[in-house]
Amino acid sequence: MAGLSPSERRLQKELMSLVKEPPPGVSVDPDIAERNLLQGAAGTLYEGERFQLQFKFSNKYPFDSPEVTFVGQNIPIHPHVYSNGHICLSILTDDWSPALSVQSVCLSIMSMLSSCKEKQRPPDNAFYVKTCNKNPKKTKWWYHDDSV
Amino acid sequence: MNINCVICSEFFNASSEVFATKCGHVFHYPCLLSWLERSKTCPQCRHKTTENSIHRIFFNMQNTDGNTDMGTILNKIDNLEYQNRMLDKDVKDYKEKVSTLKKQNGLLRQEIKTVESSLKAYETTIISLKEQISYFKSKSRESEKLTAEIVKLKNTIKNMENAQIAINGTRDQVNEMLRNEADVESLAIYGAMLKKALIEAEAKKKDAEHSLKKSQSEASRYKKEVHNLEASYGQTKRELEHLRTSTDKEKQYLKSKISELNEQLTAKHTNNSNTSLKRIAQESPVNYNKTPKLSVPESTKLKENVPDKPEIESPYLQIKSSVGYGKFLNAKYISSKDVPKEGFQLTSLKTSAKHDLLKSNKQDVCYNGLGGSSKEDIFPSPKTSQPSFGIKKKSLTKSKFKRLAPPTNTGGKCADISDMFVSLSGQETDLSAKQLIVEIIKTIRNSLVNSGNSVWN
Repeated sequence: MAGLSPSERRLQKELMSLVKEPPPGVSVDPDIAERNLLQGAAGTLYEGERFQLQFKFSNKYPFDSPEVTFVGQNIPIHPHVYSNGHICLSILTDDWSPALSVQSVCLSIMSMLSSCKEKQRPPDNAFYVKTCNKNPKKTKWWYHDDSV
Repeated sequence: MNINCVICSEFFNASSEVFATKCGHVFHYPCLLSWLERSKTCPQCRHKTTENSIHRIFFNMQNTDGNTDMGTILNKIDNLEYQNRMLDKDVKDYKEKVSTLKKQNGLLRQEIKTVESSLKAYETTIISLKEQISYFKSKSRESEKLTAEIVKLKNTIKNMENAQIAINGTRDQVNEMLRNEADVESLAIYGAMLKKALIEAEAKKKDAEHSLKKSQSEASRYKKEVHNLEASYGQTKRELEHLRTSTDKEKQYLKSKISELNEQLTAKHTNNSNTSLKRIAQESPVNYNKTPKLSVPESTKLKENVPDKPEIESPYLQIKSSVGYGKFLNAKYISSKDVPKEGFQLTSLKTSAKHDLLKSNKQDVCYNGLGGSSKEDIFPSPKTSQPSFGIKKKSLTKSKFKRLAPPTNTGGKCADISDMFVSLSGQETDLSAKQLIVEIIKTIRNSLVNSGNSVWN
């Protein structure tokens, strides 16, 4: 791994571990893109459904959090997930730590989906979708639900 | 040592600077420092951490040999795995590439095939087109040749026309043409043509001269003939004059005789007059004509039966000749040489006979005056006189015809004359001797005039 920046080295390692020993309900398609991760959600409300997550890493990773959104046709209907794929999750912005990884983020999202009791969009979904920035990290999130 | 830094996920080894937070979490110093710049928390437990609160920790390595160190080995394994993965990926990529390239190759091969087939088609078309081009080139060459030939022919035509002008045209035209024509060759051609034409013209001139000479000689010949004819004409005129004089003489003589007879008649007025008149009548050739006409067949018979009669032979012959006139003429046409001789002979005979007749007439007159005369004396005289005229005419006409006149004309005339004689002898028995003579003279003159005209015609 000589010649690679520390962030690249780490991402390479993460990818390899994901490919080698993926967490349950998570699979990686390394052919599509190293930043694209597939998440097959196996849980209560979203059983049988498959969702696709997109990770965008800056070169400051792991000190800077990755930009994670739902993409594809099927975006989960969840109180913390907007219809444009943006996810309201504290570890993706303020509570990010370099000790977190793609795998941990995936597990957090899976737990978030699994803990959902009612399939519904966030209450300010329409307004946010209209006005929000493309990058979810630029949104000033107000994390209110500590249950997740 | 199977411990790693959670920030960079690298294993710690003997050479790495490992720092620990108050809460007891260990990190690489640069990793922890860069995180603490952002957030004064522990990356793992979010415990409050500052640059001062962290401190370095040291491990006591059992084996300082880097190669046997677990972390380095694991790192190496990771690296190798990574490399392996990359290589696998490369292999996969290359395989993909190979497959795509194979596909492309197949497609390209197909394309090549199609292109080759099309190329073949194009080549065939090119070959055919080349053939066509060569064909057309040859055609064009032929056409060029033909055009050149046409130009050549046009030039020759022009030259010929100019040559025609040079031969036939006026001098001004020729001069104009020569001024316009600058080509030496064409001028040479004109010269040659003119020379040829000149030679031809000279040949024609020679021919013309030759023909001129010929015609001149012919003309001289005709002139000579004309001279001859004129001479003959003069001769015949003279003869005619002679005949006229002789006839005049005869006429006078007969007139005198008639007057004498009248005197005698007036003097006598006796019965003798009848006898004398009878005699005169008998003496006249008119009466005589009757007798020979009747006796012609007899005479022929006589000629056959009695050939030997010395005194009477000549008159009979003459009669015979006069009667067989046509035959004689025909014979004459065939053999012209014999005729003049006979004619001359006849004329000579005639003249002699005439003289005799005159003499005999005189003698007869004398006898008549005495009143005694034999028939035998009278008989020959008129006979000789009559045929003699005919023969004479014949001879004249013959001689002339022999020279110039065509045989048909002479034949017709001669026939007319002979017919006239026959008619005269047959019809005009009642006419007096005087009238008869006058008639005969007229006919002779007419015939002569006609013959003369015919000659000149």
